[in-house]
Amino acid sequence: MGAQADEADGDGTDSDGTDGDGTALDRLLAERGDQLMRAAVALAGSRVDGEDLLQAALERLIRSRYRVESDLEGYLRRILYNLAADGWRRRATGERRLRLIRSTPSADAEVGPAPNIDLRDALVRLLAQLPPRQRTVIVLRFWAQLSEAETAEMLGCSEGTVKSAASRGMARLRELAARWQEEPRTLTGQLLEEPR
Amino acid sequence: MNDHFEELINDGLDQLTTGSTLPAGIAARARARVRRRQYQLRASLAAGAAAAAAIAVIAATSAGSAGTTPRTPAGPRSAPSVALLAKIERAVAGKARSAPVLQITTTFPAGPVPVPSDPFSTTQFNEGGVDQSSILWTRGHVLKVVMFHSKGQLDDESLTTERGLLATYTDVDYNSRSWSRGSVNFFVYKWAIPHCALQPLDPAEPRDWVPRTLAKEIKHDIACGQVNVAGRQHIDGVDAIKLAFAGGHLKVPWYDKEPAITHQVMWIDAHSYLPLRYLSTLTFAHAKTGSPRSASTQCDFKWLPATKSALAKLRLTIPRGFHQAHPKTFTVHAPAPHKSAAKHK
Repeated sequence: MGAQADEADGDGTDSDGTDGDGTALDRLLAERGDQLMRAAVALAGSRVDGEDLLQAALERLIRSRYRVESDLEGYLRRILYNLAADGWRRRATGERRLRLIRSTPSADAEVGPAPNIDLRDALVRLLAQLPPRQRTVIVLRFWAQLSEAETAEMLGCSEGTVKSAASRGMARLRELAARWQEEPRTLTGQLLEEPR
Repeated sequence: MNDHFEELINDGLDQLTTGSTLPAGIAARARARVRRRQYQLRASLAAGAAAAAAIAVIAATSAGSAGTTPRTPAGPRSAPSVALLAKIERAVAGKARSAPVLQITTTFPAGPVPVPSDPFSTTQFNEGGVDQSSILWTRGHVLKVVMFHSKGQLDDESLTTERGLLATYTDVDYNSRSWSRGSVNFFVYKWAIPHCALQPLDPAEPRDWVPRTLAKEIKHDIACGQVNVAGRQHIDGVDAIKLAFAGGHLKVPWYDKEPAITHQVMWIDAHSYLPLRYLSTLTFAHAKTGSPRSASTQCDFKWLPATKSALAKLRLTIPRGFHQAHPKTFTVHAPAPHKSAAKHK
């Protein structure tokens, strides 16, 4: 569709020309942008999707700036986490959700020879097969190191929900990991490469 | 095992994210997308305003045409009389001649609405439900819109002047305390009218955008559907005649799988016969969230005489201390009309 060609119209600049005076958002991104990007990548499963996820979160933040009284980073992270947990309802919803759920193996992640490194990489890939909320909870709990209470607050749900999502997610991951260790290729079809 | 497993996940995600850096220009792109969405909203508003004004005219003319008399359903509703419609037509035409400043205050749905209004990438309208209201003033080819957040704070102010397909605009963004000038191609947006049951207009015809042509389209829709007098009501203390338009499908060529059902109601001042209020409700039978959703947008009309103070509403002053953002020029290409965009009625 021809309209798609517009994606980079006039705004595909590589410098944030509108923000030269240093707004709070720009300062935040200058200071904490890389950490936020890392969080987005962890949630989305790949750098490309992470960038899109972070941009979606930024758009929401910009649209709701007046709601932010303090802690801009906290607010942005909350948006980011909730977008991820909700299956990231953004552009071409179905397609994006599919990408999020079935993220292809990260081209960024290197597969090392040691078994543990293989399993680590496999777990990241298998994580992409979990429902968005379970995946988000696991990332927040075991990577961002948030407590159950903090995770619940971030996602606007009860601690019980977090506990349950983490428990189910981990159980499913273990199941998938066990099957992967038995038969890497058949477990995820095209999604997983056989460890070298 | 638990701790080990968790450590492996942690290590794996560390490995995945190591070296990830913030892409250059991501904030600029996000702002540009937000701005583009705002323009869609305004274009929709403008279309809604024009359509609403046109509805009154067309309601009159269609009822007088052979074969277009609205069907009268059972119950209290009845077809408007030719005399009533003629009065409405005369009142609107009289106002058009005197070139008033038309002021339209719009109240948006409280939350995000999954309107397929963006052919590029998004299915959200008023994402986040942030914009709660706006005031639009228009006269001739000039359109000014002020948008407000839910708590009444200023969100954005813009002044647009149309020149055929291209419109030039000045925009003040109160969020980033910046302003910009640029141009926007309206003719894509007019296809995405979220609250009017209009057939997409001909992109090859720049004048499709003007109310006269919109009126023609609405006349066609009315000819296919029905308009009924649904009684009398008081609107803000004014005795008003309620005109109800039967539901139709929102027609957006590239989103034929997600039609919305529209219902439109207009209240006419029973004394001046001018439109007072226009309420449009969209119902999404196949919303992507999986459950039906609906949303209403209400427009309240005031026809202001073109006095000095009313004309001043069509001016825009850039607040002191705001910095200039680099202009955004939206040069978009309309997608080809989709065959399945044929009328649903």
